[in-house]
Amino acid sequence: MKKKSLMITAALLGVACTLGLARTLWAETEVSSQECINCHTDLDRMDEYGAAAAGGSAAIAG
Amino acid sequence: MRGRDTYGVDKEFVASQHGQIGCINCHKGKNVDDVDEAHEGLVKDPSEEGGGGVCRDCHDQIASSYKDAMHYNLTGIKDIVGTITSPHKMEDTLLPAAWQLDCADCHASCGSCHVAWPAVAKGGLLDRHRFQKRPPMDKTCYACHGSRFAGEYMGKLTPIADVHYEKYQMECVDCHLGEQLHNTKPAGVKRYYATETPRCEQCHPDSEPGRSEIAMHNAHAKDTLACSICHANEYFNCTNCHVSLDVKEEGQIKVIFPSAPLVTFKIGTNIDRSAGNPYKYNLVRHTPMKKDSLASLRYFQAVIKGAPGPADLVANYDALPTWNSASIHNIQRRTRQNASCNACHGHRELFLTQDDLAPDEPKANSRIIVGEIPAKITK
Repeated sequence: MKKKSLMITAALLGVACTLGLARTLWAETEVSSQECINCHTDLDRMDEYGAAAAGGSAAIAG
Repeated sequence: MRGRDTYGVDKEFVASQHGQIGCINCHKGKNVDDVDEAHEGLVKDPSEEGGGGVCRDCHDQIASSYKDAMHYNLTGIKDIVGTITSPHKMEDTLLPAAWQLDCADCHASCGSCHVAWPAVAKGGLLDRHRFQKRPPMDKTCYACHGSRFAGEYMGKLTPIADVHYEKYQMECVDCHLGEQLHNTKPAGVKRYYATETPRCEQCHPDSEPGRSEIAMHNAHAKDTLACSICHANEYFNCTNCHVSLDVKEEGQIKVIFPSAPLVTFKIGTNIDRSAGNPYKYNLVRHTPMKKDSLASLRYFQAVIKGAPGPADLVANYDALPTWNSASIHNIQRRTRQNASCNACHGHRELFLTQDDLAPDEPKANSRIIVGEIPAKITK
């Protein structure tokens, strides 16, 4: 019985550690795109760029 | 119809489940301040590759079927081009390059319905990168299907819009379910041979011949007439398309299709009869293909590769008709031809006949014409 409880505790600890690690990695991922986010969430700047890039026209297909 | 060249991302998206994945995990590039360096190796549409791209990591079930779906691989167009240019080998022609320059713009990735405008509409984010579970019809479907289905459905091509849109504001995906769009069954077939497609009877079961309270529904045997023959209005056709150069940007070859429009209504013989399209007669639409439609590719090939392509590129032109089964999307309950029996019977102009075929059109059109026009009913 004691052995079984020990195993369950170990398993729960393992799950908790894995989730913690995943959370850390997730957070790192967020940080790793921060420069992109800073630029692309500046909507005025992006729209200005988009307006400048717009040119020509697209045909209707299909 | 075109996108808006919008690359701005809303902070709400950044905080969402998809946003938390992080830009460069999907789009690659570099997380640096310098704009040019940041975009090195950028993947504009990370959902493109293999019919799912990075979406496959979480949406494997959809991606595994979508790679074989007709919106991704454009089976119908490939099959037609392969047939009419036979026996030429694709690699001996400029067709693969033309495919990349133009045809491929219409093939849909996950992103070109759920995140951005399709490539043919020049791309750009639909809604500040917020994912659209239900693609907006007027920006996504219409961008590729504007000159036919979506255009006629919304009344942008001909004066009469579809009653399902006009009266009930139904959108494409109300009939064309996501499951059907993501998964063509059987895999790899052309549209009229797909078994799981919308059918009018699914919502209007009491319209089936023999089960209807409407005499005209019962007057025609089951699987004789497509519903649209009685309920569609005149529709848009293309007639005289030729591949040409877009000269707006020097050095940039872009395939364009100047074409003469034709608004008409023609009942033809259905040569694509299948479980999903069982009718003996269907409405037919003119396909914009002439024997010399691709002639300019020969010239391009000479310029680009140093030697001209085959003089008779569309060598097998006669194999396929240019009048083809059509799913007309400007349905109304009451139409000119269903006003009475004799509003259709005896009206030769409603039927595709030998008189409608131009002399230089493919021989296969003879399979589509209606030989015997139903006579006026006199009693």
